[in-house]
Amino acid sequence: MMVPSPEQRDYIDALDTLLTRADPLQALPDEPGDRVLDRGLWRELADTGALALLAAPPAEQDVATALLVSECLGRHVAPLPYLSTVLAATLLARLPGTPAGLLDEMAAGTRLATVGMIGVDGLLHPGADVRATRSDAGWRLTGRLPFVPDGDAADLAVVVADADERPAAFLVDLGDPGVVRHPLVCLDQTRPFAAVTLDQVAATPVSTDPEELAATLAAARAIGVGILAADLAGTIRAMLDMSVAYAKTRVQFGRAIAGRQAIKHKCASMLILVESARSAVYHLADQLGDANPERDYWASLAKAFCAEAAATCATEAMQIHGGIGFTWEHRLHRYVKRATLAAGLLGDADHHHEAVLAHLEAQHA
Amino acid sequence: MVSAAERLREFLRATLPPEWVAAVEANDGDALAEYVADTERVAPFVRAVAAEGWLAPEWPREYGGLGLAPDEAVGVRRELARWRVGTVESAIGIGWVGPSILRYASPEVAAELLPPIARNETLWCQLFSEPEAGSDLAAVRTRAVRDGDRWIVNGAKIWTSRADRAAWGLAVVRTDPEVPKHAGLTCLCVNMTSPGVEIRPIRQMTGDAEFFEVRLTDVVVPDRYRLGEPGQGWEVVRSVLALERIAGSGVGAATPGSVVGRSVEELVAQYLPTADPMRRARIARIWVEAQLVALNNQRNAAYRSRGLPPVAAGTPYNKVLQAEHSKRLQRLFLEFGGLRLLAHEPDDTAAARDVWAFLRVQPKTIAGGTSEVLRDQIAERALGMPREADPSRTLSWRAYLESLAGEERRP
Repeated sequence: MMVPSPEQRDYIDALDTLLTRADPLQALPDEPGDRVLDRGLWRELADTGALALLAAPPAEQDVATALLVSECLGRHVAPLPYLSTVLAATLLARLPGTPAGLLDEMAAGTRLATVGMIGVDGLLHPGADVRATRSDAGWRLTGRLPFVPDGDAADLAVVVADADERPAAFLVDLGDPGVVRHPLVCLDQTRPFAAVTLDQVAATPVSTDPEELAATLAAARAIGVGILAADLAGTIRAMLDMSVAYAKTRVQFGRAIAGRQAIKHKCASMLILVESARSAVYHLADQLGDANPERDYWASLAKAFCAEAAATCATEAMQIHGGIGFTWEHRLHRYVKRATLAAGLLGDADHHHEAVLAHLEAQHA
Repeated sequence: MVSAAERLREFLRATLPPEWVAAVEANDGDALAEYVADTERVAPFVRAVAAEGWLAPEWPREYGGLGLAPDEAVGVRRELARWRVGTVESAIGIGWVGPSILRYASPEVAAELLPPIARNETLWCQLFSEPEAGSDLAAVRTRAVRDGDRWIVNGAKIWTSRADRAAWGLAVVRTDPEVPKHAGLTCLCVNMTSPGVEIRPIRQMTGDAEFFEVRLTDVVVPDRYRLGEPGQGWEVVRSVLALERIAGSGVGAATPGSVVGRSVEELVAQYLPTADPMRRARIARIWVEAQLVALNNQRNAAYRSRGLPPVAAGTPYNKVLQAEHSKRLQRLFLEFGGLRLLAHEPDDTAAARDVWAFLRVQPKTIAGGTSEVLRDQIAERALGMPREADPSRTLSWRAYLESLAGEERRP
């Protein structure tokens, strides 16, 4: 069980202050539309060291603090490319062909990398729709990446492609003339996705060993699931705090609705979910080592719980807010949408409940 | 370094009978339940474990404990639960009355009362609830009047667990009706063999009678058995209840033996292999919830050990979760077991146990604070939401009772 150290608590407090001051939701358009990434804020986040936590060699990575960062970003529903950076960094840090200096540029917030292997089911796996061919000029990739997180803004993508009927990982420059980005209409505007097509795009191989690649994808899957669970834990905490604050100011029948038992009990039930979600995430923080045989089990357990807790908290927060919570003007919808996407991405509650059961069955077999 | 839980495991392997050890090591829940069901056979071994201080791991050594840190004690309690060492009855003394004696009694009285609790020789009961004082516990009407260096107690208590076996009871009584409700209370340790203590069993829906009505008629309690100052009773009660709610928070927090019914591991072992998709979904959810209850206790203990502010301002959020979880878990045993549990052969002790456990967990969301009162407490203390108006907080107790009587007289 991770207990945040005094240094970690001070660090997260500072991050919280930074995000409160920057108020990144302001960067989202008032009308339904796409995010414009606030690169200044992204570099400020990088300056705190938040990106170097995972954009570093595996031995120097600090996954536990990264989960705390993600919880804080979730509390602010920050429209920043943290998840895609974590996924790309987890892969690149473990794969032998990663160009020298790239992780440092990612850690500094000057180069933005994402991943291209999220399938139409929302899971991270080798994309069957990309073909790699080799000529004298090097590798070229052709195919389609259906769900690229932060595909609107990323400079690079790690892509898994079929190279001579074996999966291999490549790095592609999304500025290449053979790349076309199709922004998708996203429920959650804080975490936009794009479909990306590749047509004979020059690519740098980063791993051509299928076993190494499979193990690295498994690490990225577990850490990505942890980052989303932490993000959800933060988002539902914010939903609870907003609901309590609103109920204290909303007067009906001559008194604040916060004094009504029906509202108090909804909030107390949300608190039980919020604190339990946090316990799951803080426990997971100690379990994400590459060699831990229980890593994937604890990741699935945390995600299954946080995903369902998020659905419940979103419903209750909307109910407590009444009509105002249904308006575009009130920020609650950003939280509800963020939680809905995070709950489904990299495996929904059903997927992770099945994974938990598979683990139990393997133990009993 | 060898953890306290590992030292305990070695000790239990060396101390308990081979059949007991074998059942635990084979993870055979049925055999274990069968073995510990014979309380007379088990009692001397529980006492042997208690004699070493294992049942009260956090208490100071001079009072019969081991002086362990809270997070180490979590491991010890989990290990004791795995071995099913300890009984529901011993929970009251070890789990919440004992620590309150430690905090509020004089050193002489603590030295007299605590070691027999740690050794599991003396059982305690709580003389708290009354017919008119349930969720509104501070509304107790039992009176104690000072007479020199002793108190004379008169009144009636109800829902007193194990009053038949308890040697002592911790009573909250009204000692000053001229001040508001909460301010006029005092806590006394009542020797249950005193003249004037009469008990009557209350039969429960399980068919057992663990709860009792207790009548107190001119019962004499020496003043040295007072916990805290006169008028400080509500503070003592709140500290007892806070500990009771931690103890009621399940795996890792619960005092040994106080978790009722079979575990989620047993549910998985018995029913997952043949579960259809609908049942698989239910098993997955109850499994995850069980892990969260345990993780919450681990996190709460870890924060306590590091001296951090308690999670959720110390409100019993995990007691609410554990109580509701226990009811859901035991209902699954009953539903998955099907009709062969609901109508079983007289010698089918396994079926009888599952049925009993289902019934016995029903009051988990009522005893030790109803889930409604506790949700109020979470909302008020952890989230700062307003309290309901309560006139008994400002009026003197006597004036408040008169105002109630006046309302009743009105047509």
